[in-house]
Amino acid sequence: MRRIYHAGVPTATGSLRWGSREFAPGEIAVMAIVNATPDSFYDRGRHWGTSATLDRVTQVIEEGADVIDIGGVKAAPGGVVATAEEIERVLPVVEGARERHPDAVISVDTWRAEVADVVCRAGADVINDAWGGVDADLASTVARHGAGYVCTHAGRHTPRTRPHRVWYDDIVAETTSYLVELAEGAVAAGVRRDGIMIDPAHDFGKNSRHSLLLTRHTDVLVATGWPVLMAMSRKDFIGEALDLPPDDRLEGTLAATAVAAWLGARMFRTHDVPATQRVVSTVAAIRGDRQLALGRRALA
Amino acid sequence: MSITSVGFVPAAPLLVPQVAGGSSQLDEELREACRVVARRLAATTDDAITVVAPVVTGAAWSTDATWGFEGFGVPREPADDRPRLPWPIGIGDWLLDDVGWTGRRNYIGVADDGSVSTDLAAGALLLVGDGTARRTEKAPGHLDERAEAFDVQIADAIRSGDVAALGGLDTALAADLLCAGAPVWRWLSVVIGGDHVAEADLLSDTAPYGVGYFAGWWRISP
Repeated sequence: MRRIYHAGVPTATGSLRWGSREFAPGEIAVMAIVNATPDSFYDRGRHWGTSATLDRVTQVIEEGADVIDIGGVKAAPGGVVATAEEIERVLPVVEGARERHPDAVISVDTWRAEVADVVCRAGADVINDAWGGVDADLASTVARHGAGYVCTHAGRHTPRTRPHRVWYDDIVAETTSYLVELAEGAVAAGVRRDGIMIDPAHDFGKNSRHSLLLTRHTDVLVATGWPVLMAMSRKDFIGEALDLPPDDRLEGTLAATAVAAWLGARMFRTHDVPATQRVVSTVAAIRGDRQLALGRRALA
Repeated sequence: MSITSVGFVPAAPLLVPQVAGGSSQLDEELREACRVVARRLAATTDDAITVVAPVVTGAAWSTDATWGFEGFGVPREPADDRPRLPWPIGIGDWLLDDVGWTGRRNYIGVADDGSVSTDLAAGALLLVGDGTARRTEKAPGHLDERAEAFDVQIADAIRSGDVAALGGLDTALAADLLCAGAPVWRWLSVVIGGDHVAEADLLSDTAPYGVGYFAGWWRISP
């Protein structure tokens, strides 16, 4: 679409290729959270068990998810989930999803290279390294499979620990430089440059103000040239902005989504696919990146 | 000059209302107990109050430095361009501002290994540090069954003025339990020397967020 006028907002460059899909600059995509866990903070095991999880996969794809992100270990501290158990939880979901939805873009949320290797063999297209480069073998494993890779900033914290009185002299600069370093490191390890996204990982190793600051300065992340993924859905920083529990954080999440989309973020990881899809489509239309879905008003 | 009094307050950033934001009234009772501690310290000295807090690298700071919590994402209002103290020391410095202390201030940071100058350890000491951070499943460090008993030891030691018990806390266990106060209290047990605690008072002993908070006060006599 040729734009006559475009506001001075940051615009991404370069396409992102994941699985069967190519995401062009200007396109804003939705990544659906699929929890293969009994205890994740929002759904609390609502889709626990392979069959229920696969039903959830089908549901989010029908709702318009561009990518599904399957995770087998909840982020918060709790009972240890060993590598074997994580594989046991995630692998059948990846296999089932691939079989039922041959064209779906399948991401797996894991920090473990061993898990990444197994799920990529089973058809996963992307590894979402949500704890930010903890396993030194993860990037090369992703590279070996030609998969996509999400680099995140979790404040260099140990997986599944909570932030405690974390201090950053400059959260935006620290996050940005760490993400660029991870992304370039992934390229050096052989990961496709057009398969990499960066994610500031709201709330991971951060207090709520840090997460709000990163949202406010989304344009700084976008200016690195790496496509930006935002994972904000119903998180505590939204909850603390409003003093509301996870069930009541949808509107806050969508507000943050609109702001970050306006500032150039390319993908949003969410529990709420239809609502997020409508928000990002509207923002894309406002930005001038998306045609009207219907053009009749005062035009007949 | 010897130590005249010691105050104990938590190293919790949320004590500072600007940091806590809209929920600051939730912790007003604890904050008020800390104010009482600071006022009692002020009443025992007409010279300086020395803030002692856990830091990454032990050192002493110049008296023209001040508190600031920008690293938690909180700008100081109104803006103040003086050099910033490390945030745990800043909590004590903020408290002295809050109770209107206009006398001299010294600042000591104690590292985990206890390496720090003891030259300034005299007069009234305001010790910033708290107990374990693993009291519940929602605590910053998640639940550790040993945490509560460890915090009881701390509370008992402050309540009874037991310097040896406070200084003798198990170092490795304290680190495991994310106990921020242990290095500072160990330092106190060394600098207090042969002086003894003439009066001890535990004003507050709570853990609303899974972190052990104590507000206490000791009067020291040679």
